[in-house]
Amino acid sequence: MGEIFQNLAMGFGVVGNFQSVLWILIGVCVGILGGAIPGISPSMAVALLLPMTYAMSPTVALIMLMGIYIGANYGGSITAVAINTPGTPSATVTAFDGYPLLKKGRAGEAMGISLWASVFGGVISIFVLMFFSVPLSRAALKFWPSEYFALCIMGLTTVATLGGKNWQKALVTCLFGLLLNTMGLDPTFGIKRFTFGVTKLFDGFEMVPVLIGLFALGEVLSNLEHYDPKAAVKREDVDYKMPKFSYYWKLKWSIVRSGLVGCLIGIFPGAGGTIASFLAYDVEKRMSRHPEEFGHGAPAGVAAAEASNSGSVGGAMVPMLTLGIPGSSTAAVLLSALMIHNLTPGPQLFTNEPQLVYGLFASMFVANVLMGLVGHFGAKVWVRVGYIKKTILYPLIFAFAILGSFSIKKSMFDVCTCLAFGIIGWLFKKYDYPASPIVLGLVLGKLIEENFVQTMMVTGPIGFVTRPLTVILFLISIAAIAYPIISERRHKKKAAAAKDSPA
Amino acid sequence: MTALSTWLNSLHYGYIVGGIAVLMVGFYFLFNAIPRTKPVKAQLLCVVGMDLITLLFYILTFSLRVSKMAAQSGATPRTMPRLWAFLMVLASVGAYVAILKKDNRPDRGFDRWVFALMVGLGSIVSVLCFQWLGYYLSSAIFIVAVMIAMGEKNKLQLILTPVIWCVFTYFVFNKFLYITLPVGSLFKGMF
Amino acid sequence: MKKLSLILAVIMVFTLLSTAAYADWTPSQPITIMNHVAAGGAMDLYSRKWVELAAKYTDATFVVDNNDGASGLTAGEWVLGQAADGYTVFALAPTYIDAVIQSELDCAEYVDGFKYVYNLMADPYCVLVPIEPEAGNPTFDSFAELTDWAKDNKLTLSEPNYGAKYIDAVQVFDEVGVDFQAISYGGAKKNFAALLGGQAIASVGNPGDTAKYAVKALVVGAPERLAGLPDVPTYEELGYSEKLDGIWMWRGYAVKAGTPDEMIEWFQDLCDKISADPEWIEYMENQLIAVRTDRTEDFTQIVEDEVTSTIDVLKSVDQISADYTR
Repeated sequence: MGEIFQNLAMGFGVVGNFQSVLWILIGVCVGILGGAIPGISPSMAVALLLPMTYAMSPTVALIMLMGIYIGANYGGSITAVAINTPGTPSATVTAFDGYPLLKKGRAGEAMGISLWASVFGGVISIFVLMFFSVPLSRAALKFWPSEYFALCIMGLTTVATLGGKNWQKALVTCLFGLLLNTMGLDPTFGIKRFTFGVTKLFDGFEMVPVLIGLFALGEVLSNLEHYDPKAAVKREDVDYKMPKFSYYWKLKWSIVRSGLVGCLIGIFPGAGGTIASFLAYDVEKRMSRHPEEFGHGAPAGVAAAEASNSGSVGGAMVPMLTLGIPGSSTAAVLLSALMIHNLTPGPQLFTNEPQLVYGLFASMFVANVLMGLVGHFGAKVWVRVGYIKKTILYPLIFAFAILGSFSIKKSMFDVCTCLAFGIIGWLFKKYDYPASPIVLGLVLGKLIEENFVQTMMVTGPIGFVTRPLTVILFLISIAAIAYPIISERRHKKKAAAAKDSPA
Repeated sequence: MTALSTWLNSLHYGYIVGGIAVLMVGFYFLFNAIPRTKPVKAQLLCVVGMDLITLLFYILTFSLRVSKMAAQSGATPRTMPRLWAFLMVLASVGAYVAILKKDNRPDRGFDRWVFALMVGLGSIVSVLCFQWLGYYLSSAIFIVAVMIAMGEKNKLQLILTPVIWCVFTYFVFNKFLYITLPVGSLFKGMF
Repeated sequence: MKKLSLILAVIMVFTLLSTAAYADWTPSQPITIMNHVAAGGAMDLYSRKWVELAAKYTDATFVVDNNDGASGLTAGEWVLGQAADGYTVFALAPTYIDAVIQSELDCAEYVDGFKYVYNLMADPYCVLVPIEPEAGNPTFDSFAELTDWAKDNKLTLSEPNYGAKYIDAVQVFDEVGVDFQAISYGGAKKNFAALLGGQAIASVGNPGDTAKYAVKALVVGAPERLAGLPDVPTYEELGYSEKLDGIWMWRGYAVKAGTPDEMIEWFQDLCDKISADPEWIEYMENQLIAVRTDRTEDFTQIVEDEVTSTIDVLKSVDQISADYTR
């Protein structure tokens, strides 16, 4: 244990100079901006800046790229809160409560929570990474397809909380999302399905255009429907001020729990921050005393989404550094940055290049602190974005949506996808169909299918019932569905008993 | 079933989209005629639309190829779509029941939906114009058009908003990120 | 008549002018290298290294981009959709060809639509097993042990996406006479997580993987033993057909057919310079890859062979329709 602190001190020694801190700061700023632009994912942001690092030493290169990764993961939440446009898929959940908070005029609160939950979620994950990376990397290998499958099913159970009163409609939209996700080449056999001769559909629908369409365009179209140019512009009562520290303190357990959930799920390659944020959100909603607030501006919802999403960064680094297997697509780019500098990740990296590894850990702390500072001052500016005059804001959101969908793959098809889903999002909003379950279906569909088929091939169907961890995850999923039903029944019985007893 | 599936597979997607649209219109008139479904017809149509796509996908699974590997593994490319389709049937029955219940809220009335739809279609037209007018001009026109339609009268803002937007996208995307946006055939010779 | 000759004259002047402009081709805008894999994939890594070294020899700006949808098909389609002006280069590997054939697309469009400019490397295939298998899985020290074991047990191979490595596996184990079941994982990294986690017994990979993951090679498909893996025999040494030693993974650059020859020449010259660069050679050696300098004619033949063998193998496992032709 003492050795780790010694090494960490050495790590801080490596990054504790003006030049390194400057590069981290640049990385964080670029990352935040990149993450905020829909269509620039964290992995794209890191890949775009990768060429700049060729001339740097491996350590400086890596810490700057790490800064981008951390910044971009937070940046996605800015547009999610300000204009209901998740800049990255993992920020979708942030929009669930962040945007309603902003609409209620509590913009400072929403921005503040998403920022500090990101920072502390990130810090939690660094601790986990430092102390437990070696044992956890073994756990990552023990996670077989049947476990992934069970984890995804667990993710699906969150649809119950996403739907609320309209749970029947939520279920339908979720299944529709799952079905849409079967379009394109099937993930295991490479057979084309439901592509109707359109090669652009071979990869199914790209995630980000769907998100932008469903959430941002759906919202704008629905607002346009009720827009009245003659109505006097109301001075909305908006609180731009960021809350005080004591306010965040109330959310400490939400942040810790969600950070840990994010970190744990981030470890497993391919699972990623998006599922983590859905699950953490679900956990918080179930633990909350006021679950009805979720989806209408619950501070704990924003905190859960952002803390878990940032927590997944540290998690994704665990298998990357110890096994050479990145936990996320962004970690994969970081890995290639290492390899361009002729460094090979794996257990020997810790012994051969301790300066690099612990320098990286130290830089993650520094990056999170810097992100807190940059974000704190930046939030004062972008918190106002959501309240720009509607005649300017709405056309710009459209322009942003089109640009963002185009830039991912430079494909007009994606732009059309975005617009089509915009209309779907509008209709869904109008007729009380929750849109988030579609996203859940689109995120989980491929994973579910892939891991189902792999389990069938590796162990056969018996694998679903003989592997202890799989069974535990299944039991949790069943409990997650059954508990609300049972508790509701009990309440009804109690209420009935209370009615009967006086008589 | 396989023959139907192969036939559907050979159709151009335009016919399929058209077919679904025709069926939807039919269902609209059907729901409109029944007093019980009339107030919630739009909500029902949403589910019907999803169910029609589900049915289409289910039929199409019959023409999906099952390779030797798939046959060995016990799970084929057909498995998951069929599973989701099956669950979809159950879920939509639940949704129909929920929508038709007495305490369900009737469809929201149409506000200025034509206006919203026009903006939506306008954005599609603007995207289609990219190949001729190019990204910059086309989106600038779109922004100004929507602003005017929304009742903006401030001339300075009408001019500055699209200009700033175009300058921003040009420098950030074209110059910094090397994402070349369509220039449009009209201007191709000029650059 | 006069009009016609005038038009002809104008056309001729323009053609002359345009060829004159191309005679000494120098790029006037950034050249995009579109990868068929995601950032972090093998081809992406090598093309980024290549771009880094290219800065030594040219002032041209290269932008490395990725488009990994549908096993690389979207990247190929994107390149085919761009102008054939030399400012878009496609960085591809056999995976792309496999994707085209697996989806039964028209080779005339998706394969012949490119001009294969330069093949950079030959990355051999080898059979890999974990150094320390998970409890319950057997340990192998030689290829013979593996094949013997496979006679009485089910041999499972983890393979990324039934791609090029799977095609090699079918060819190898057909020749060896061993039945196997391939389990597909999305991407090389997940594939190794599965192998190390004990989900499969072995995998077909590249020699460079032995440096990246805790795996060892049992046999390598190369004309002679690799300097970096002196203890690993070739197929021929083990008594199998030398044909197996001739299958390797190429990675190189292509442009859309119709790109000016001057650009292609300029690009090939640049490739030659980088292939001769000591840093490139050392980098490739570290990855246990042989540097190649195949220009259009040879490269096209290599791709053609890949197409033929891929179609044969995929038909033999019933993965594509028997009616599909080149």
